Amino acid sequence: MDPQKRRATPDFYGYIPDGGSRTVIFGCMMLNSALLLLIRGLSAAMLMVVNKRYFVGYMAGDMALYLLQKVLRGDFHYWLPVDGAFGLFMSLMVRVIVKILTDFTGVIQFRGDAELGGLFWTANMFLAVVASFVCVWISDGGRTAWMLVGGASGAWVMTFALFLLLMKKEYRRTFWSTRTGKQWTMNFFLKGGEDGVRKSTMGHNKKQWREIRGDVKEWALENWWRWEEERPAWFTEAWIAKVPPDMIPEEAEAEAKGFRESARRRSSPAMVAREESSMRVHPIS
Amino acid sequence: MLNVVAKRLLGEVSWGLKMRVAMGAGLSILDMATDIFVIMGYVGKEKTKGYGWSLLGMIVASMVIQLLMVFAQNKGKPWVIAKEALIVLTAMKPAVDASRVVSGHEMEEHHAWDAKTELVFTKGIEMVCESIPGCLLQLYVLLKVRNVSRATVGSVLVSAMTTGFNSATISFE
Repeated sequence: MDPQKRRATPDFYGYIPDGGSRTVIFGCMMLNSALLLLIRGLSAAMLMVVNKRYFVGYMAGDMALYLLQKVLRGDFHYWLPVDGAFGLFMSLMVRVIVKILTDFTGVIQFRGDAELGGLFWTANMFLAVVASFVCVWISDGGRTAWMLVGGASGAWVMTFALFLLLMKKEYRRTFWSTRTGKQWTMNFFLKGGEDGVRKSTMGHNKKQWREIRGDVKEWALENWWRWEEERPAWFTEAWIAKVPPDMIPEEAEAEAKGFRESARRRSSPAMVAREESSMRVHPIS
Repeated sequence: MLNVVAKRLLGEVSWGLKMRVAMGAGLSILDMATDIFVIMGYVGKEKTKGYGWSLLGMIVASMVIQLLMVFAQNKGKPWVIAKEALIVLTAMKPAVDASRVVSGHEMEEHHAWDAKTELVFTKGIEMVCESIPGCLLQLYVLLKVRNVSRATVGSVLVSAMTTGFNSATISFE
């Protein structure tokens, strides 16, 4: 929907075709989420009635596996440029919240590389439905429970299949993408083409793009005076304040230092969000 | 500027956008009304009183966090904060946010984030604090207490539809 985001990440945004099918697609997405919540909610409630510890154990184990694979793939840190212990805490919170939201509602946006990732999202969805049947089996819910969960699961599969059928087919691969969040961040620079997209990498958590730091530095130093002369829309005080000092030519560093101090004085979580909202492409999105 | 023009043009040509905004507003209000109805029913019975307070706690937590977000978004503008707080307290926030996104509402000087980010935050808060745990709790009570009233079933269905709407909006807009 957002032209800026479509330009920055054309292989992720723009999957909904123009025309009359838009409303049908929206309806499919809505029903799909509502059905998943009912399936998951009912099976979880049945498990809790048997023993609340089963439910807590299942949720905790599932979450631990998710976080473990993020750590093992070097993709635990969230893209927001927040460092230190608070950055670590924020990454953990966002990862947990996004996982819970996806588990119970299957928000399609969260298949993005910066969130769960395409293949994990798809596997997570199918495992969530399978786990619901296991819950019904454990709780011995009887014929009504099997029919309710079975019927809702069937409807869920149908709405998801219809969604896949109606969306632009070239975007279907986003559902089995194995790219990580840090690859997504680095791709702005590596595949972005225009400077206005390439610069987005520098606005993300530096832990996500340390592998290409040398190339980014070289690019910034090479182009700095051209940007000073042309003053592109994104070459703002806020952006300059975020550029590491060693990536700015010595003659321009004094001015940048002033911007950094000014930004630090105004610094707050809101400020971070404000600076990032202009370049963010996968919301918490 | 071009983004705003593009969004406004999209808004003008698609009746679907307007329908979604209206539907969002309707579902939000209906969800709030059914939740209050269920809370009153729970609190009125000794066996379910605790669940009623838990459900109320979820709604209050969702609203408090949304109010904090409104404060952060409009810091230093008390009248704007008051107006936005009223929108939160009347459960109209998701609908107003959706309307701002589809009409290409521009970010104002005092704003901390843009309309799309605010919409995602609001819906995320509502879903995590209220819709998902609320739906789970009501289903649990339904099974545990065997209290299968039309109001409870209706409230669960409305909560599920509202959550579905919010989830779709996050991905769609």
